[in-house]
Amino acid sequence: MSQLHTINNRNDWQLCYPLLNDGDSVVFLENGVYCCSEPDFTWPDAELKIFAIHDDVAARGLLASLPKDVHTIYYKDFVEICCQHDKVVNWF
Amino acid sequence: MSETVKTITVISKSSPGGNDRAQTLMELVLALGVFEQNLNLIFYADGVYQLLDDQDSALLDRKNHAGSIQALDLYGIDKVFIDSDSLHTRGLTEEQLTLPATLISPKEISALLAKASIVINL
Repeated sequence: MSQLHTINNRNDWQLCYPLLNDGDSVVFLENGVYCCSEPDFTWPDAELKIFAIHDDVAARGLLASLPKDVHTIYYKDFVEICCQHDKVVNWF
Repeated sequence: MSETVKTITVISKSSPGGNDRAQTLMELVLALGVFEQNLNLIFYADGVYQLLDDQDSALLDRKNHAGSIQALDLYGIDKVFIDSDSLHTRGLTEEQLTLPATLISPKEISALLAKASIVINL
């Protein structure tokens, strides 16, 4: 059973972080993209996939500062990723 | 897990004051209790402040949140958990809490999330 976590602001990443399971995915969107583009952005060892919404990153001028393990996606990919997981946990 | 029995896991992560998040979520939880849903309630992060025994929200002209917390038992909601890390990093102890709940670790919370059919987080 895998979860998709969505993070749309800076504060919730540290709350979500301890609760991640192997196989989970995280999507950063809106102001949440600020935390995944920081130089000291880390995630737990769990086998995770990390995504950020391309337009939210680009609109904030952060494309260059995004770590290479964070994959940018578009909204249609977001829908597909939602369907690949059993449930979505929204942090907002 | 049978297809028909859904487990709803609710994470309450907001402090009782400042906005209506905690109160709104507690009304939802009590409603789920009325409909006898299979429910896990987890107090996490600032959500643990909702459980403090010595609150007087009347001073802020707000409904007393502790009232809804104490109603949980009445509504048959007995699977109530508290994140021990959230409690301890805020310098709180179990003795200060208004209801008996099970202390669990973040690892155990993520296991509950994995087993849930629906997760509600506010």
